[in-house]
Amino acid sequence: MLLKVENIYFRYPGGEEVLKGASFSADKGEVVAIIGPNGSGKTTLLMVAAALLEPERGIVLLEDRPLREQLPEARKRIGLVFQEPDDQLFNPTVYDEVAFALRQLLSSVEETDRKVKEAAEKFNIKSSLSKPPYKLSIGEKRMVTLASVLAYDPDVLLLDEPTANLSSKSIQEIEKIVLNARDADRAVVVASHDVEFVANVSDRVYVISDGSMLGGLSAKSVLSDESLLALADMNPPLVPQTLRLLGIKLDDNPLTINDLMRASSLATS
Amino acid sequence: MEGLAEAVDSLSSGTNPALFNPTIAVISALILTGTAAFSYGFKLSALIFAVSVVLVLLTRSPICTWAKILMFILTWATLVSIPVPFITLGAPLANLSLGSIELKVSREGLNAMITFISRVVAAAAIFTSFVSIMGWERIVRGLGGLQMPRELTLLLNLSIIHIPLFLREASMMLSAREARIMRKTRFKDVWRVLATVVGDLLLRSYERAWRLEKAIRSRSFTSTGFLRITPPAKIGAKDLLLFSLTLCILTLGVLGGL
Repeated sequence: MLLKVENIYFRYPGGEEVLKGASFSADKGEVVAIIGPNGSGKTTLLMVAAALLEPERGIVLLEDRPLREQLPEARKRIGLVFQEPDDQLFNPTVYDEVAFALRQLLSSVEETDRKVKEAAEKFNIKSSLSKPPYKLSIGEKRMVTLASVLAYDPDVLLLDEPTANLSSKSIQEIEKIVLNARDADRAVVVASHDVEFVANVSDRVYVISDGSMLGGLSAKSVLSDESLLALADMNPPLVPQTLRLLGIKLDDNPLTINDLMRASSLATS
Repeated sequence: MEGLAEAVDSLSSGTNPALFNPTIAVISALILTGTAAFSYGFKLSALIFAVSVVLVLLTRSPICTWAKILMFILTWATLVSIPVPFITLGAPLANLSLGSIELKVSREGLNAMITFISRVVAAAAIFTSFVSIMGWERIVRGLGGLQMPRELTLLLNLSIIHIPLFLREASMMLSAREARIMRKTRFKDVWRVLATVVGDLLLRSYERAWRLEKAIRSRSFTSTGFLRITPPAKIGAKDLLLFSLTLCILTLGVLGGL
C-alpha cells in the first residue's frame, strides 16, 4: 500500500478531538474518496496525511515506512491541493507559483522553464503565466493550484474539496485531471461533498463521521448505501435517485450516466 | 475599500514590468531617490523631477495616479515645512503680526522651505514613477537581486498579495453588515459596525496565515528550499541606458554640488 493512515487521533489546541481513530489507505492507480459532513475532519485528516499536522496518536506510512522519518524529502512524493485556492497561492505570478517546487528540485533554469510551460499547456493556463494568481477567476485559480502540485510529479495526490465553487464545465475538467492522475499510477485521495463528482471518479469511498471512518469499500456499494450516506449528510447520486423514483431496478446498480448507458445497452442487447 | 484594493492591485503589477531588469531598476530608483533627497539646491531636484515625468510619459504609465500621489506628498511637505521660514535665522523678508506675537519670515528660511519641498517631491516623483512602471512585485524581485535577506523579500511578496485580499474581505464583511441594517444609523453607530469587522478580520487573518504556512511547508522539500528566489533577469541596452543616466545625475549631484 502506497499511503496508509492508521488510527489517527487529533485535536487542535484547546479544542475538541477532531479525529478519533481515523484510518484509510490508498494505493497506486486508485482514487479514494473521503466523504463526510461539514466539520467532520476531512481537511484535518488530509493535513495529517501530508504530515503538516502531528497527530496525538496514530501513524502515517508511506510505502510501509513512517512518513515522519522520511521528511522533508518525502514531501515531493505527496502533493496537497487546498480547498481554498487563495490559501495555497502565495507567489507573485502564476509562473513563479508553478515553478516554486521545481526550483527546489531542478538545478537547471531551462529545465524548470520547460516543465512550467508543459504544465501550463496541460492545465490551460498558458496565457496567465505572467499574471498574479490572485487576479484570476476561481476556476483558473483551481487549475493553477493543480498545476503547481502536479508539475513536480508527486506519487500521492491529496485533493481537498476540488470542485468547491466551480462551474459544471470546470468540474468536468477536474474529473479528467483526477482520472489522468489515476492512469498515471498515482494514488489520489479526494475529500469531497460533491456526490456526483465522487461517483464519477472514485474507486473506493470512506465515510468520515464523528472523527472515525466507515466504509472503504467500492464506490458503488458505499454510494448506494443510504444509511452510510446519511452519516455523511449526503443524498445518493442523481441516477440511483431517479431510478428509485421511477421504480426501475437494474442489477448493475448504476451510479453515473455512463453506468446507466452501459447498463441499458447491456439490457437492450 | 474596494477602490483602495484596486489601487494596491494596480501598483502591484505596474504598467510595463518587463521594461527594465528589476535589480538595475531598483538600484537606479534608490540612487535617484537618495540623490533627490540629499540634493543641496533646487536644480538637481528639478532635473530628477523632469526625469520622472519623462519616464512616466515614455512608458505610458497612468499620469493621473502618479500626479495624485505627488499632490498628496506636496500638501504634506508644505504643511510640515510651514514653520521653517519663521524659525530660521536670516535676512528678514516680511513681518507678520499674530495678535501679540511678531513673526519674521527670513529669506534663508523660505529658501530652506522651498528646497525641502522640492527634495521631497522630486524623491517621491522618481520613486513613484519606478513603482508605477515596474510594480511592487518587480521592485521586490529587484530587492532580491540585491541580496536582501530572502525571508524579507518573501514577506514583502506575501504582503503585496494579501493586502488587497484583506481589503476585499473587509469590504465584503462591511457590505454583509450593511445589508442587514434595517433602520437609519447615526454616525457613531458606524464605529460599532467597524469594530465587529476588525475582530473578525483579525481572526480570519490568523486562520489564513496558519493555512498559508501549511501551503508553503507542503511544497518545501528542504528546510530552506522555499527561500530560493527567481533567477536574475538579463541586462539589456535599456538597463545600461537607465543606469548610465542614473550615474550621470549622481555625478552631477556629487561633483557639481547641485
